[in-house]
Amino acid sequence: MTSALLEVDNLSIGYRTAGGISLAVDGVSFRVDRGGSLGLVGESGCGKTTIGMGLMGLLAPNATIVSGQVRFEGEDLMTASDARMRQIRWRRISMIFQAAMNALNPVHRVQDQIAEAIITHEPDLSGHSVAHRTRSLFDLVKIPESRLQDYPHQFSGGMRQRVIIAMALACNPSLIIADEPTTALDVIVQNQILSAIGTFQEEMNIGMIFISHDIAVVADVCTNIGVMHAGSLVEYGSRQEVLDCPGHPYTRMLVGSLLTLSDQPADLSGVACAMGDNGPATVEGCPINSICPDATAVCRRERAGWVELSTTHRVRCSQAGEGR
Amino acid sequence: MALRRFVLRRLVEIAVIFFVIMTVLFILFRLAPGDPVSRMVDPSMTPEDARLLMESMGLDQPLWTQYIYYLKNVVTGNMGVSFHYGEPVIGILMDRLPNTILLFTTSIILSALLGVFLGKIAAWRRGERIDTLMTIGALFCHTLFLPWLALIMIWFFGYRVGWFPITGMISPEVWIHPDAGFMAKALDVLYHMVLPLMTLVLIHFGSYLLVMRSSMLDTLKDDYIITARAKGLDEKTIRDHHAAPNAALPVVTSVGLSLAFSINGGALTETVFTWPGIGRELVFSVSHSDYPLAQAAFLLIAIVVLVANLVVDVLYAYLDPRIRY
Repeated sequence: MTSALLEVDNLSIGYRTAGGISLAVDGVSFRVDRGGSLGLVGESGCGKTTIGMGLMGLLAPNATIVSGQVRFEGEDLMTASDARMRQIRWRRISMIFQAAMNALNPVHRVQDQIAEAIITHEPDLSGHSVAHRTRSLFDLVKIPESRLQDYPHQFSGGMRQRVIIAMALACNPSLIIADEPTTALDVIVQNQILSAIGTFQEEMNIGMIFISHDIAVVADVCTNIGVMHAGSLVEYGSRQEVLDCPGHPYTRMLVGSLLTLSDQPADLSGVACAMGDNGPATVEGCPINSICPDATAVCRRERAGWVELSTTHRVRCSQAGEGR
Repeated sequence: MALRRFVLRRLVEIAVIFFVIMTVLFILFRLAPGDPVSRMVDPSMTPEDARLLMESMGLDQPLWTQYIYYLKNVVTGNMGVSFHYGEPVIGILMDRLPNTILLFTTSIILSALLGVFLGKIAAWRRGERIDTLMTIGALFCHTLFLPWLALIMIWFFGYRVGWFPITGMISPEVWIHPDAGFMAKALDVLYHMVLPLMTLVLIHFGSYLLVMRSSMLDTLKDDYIITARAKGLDEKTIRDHHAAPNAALPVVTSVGLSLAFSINGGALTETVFTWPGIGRELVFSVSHSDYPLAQAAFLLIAIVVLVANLVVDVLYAYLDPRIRY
């Protein structure tokens, strides 16, 4: 039995709006084992990134954690002080950002940006050791050391993503939150980056939460998959269970939308709900009852509770496990 | 290497721009009302003498010949003799130039530093009282009329409380004193510089503050600020090391743009405070129809602005690595 690195229990995060608090994450629970990996899949706005930022204590000023418990290495992150959170950030939990965004500061050399993370958390380290660690990180992600002195704009998108990965590994964290790290990269580079992330994660025994809208990408690198819809987790299980016998209609639509060469063009009509409809459910009943092919009167009336399909596979659908 | 090529390219551009400015000045002075010679020619002169005088100045030559002579003279640094002083204008202006450069470089650097520093804080504490106060204060100072402010400064600090001298750049008694060392002289100049400097900084820091504040607000939304937070950096490092350097870039641009204007306002400031600089000489030469002096002063100001812009460009390239090629 592997030990839990991160346990998230019934986490709800909302944004303060003029009309009260609007829930972006609604009662999400999951755990990540030491060295294990969890993929969070869901469409834009379903609350994936909000979860990641919430774990880091980096929510926007108008966001607030409504309820829930987050235990990381046995420590309650919800009650941790700001100073303690700063110590945990990057040292214990680091992030891999999307390189297409301006995740690297344009006016500082990449070497300094990596060194900065090391120096902040290990101030006693000599300048020589910091430089040595920075160089070996570059070796690890297969970027020539001669590029250490370069600025972010001098790298290609794929290389910039490697720099970001090197930076995430700088303090040898026990958990990495990767937020859409391959989005906006072409498939070949995406493949290289994914295999690099997978390798480090396994070899260094780092726990990982991999956030993506693309279930194919998540299936590539994660041992567990959590499917999110409208702020809630709707299905949670091992990769095989979720991909081979998806229990939730929404997951079935996502898996069914995977493109393969031999298939007819995939039908996405069921997956894509109207814009503005992907936020947290405000109506009664199951959030997807209007697009679900199997919806019954029960689905329209009340939200389903969790149904355990196996010890590791659970799904939040009232139709699940009934005669299929 | 890239930086050197960049500077060389800008130097070539500056040469071209300077040539254009010379030409425009030449045309402007020929278009200006009044004949330059009529100033020199005495009504008591015989027509023969007047003709000889015109000939000696080359004014009987066709315009394009005059233009060639003019170009040649400018390039060789022969800008003629001042009607008023009866001395070569180059010598007169070279005496004044360091005074202008001293006052304006100091004032621009001080206002930019003050604006960047206060704007950074205003943006960081957006919406708080300190932000409101600074924004209103900056707008207020920015809209002040320079000569009015200068007079108010003279009235209050020079006359009412009498802390600072109100005219000139030096106190002769300090300079002629046999023991006057460099420090004593420097302190004396500094003492005289306080009022004009305060006036210029008060007028100019506000626009830098506002530019810095809005630029900083944009920067704080950038993704690398989230990265910096995620790295566990403390807030001061994030503000000063990650947000401020990026936010200060537009301020550098704005310094470059405002250079020409501050030299412009320099004429006013120098006149009010009788600061012996180029601006005051320019006002004097225009009001006394001292054409050689005015022409040379204009050219010199053009050179100063061009060189200052080059410095700003190099500074920008140094601050923003993306600009270097």
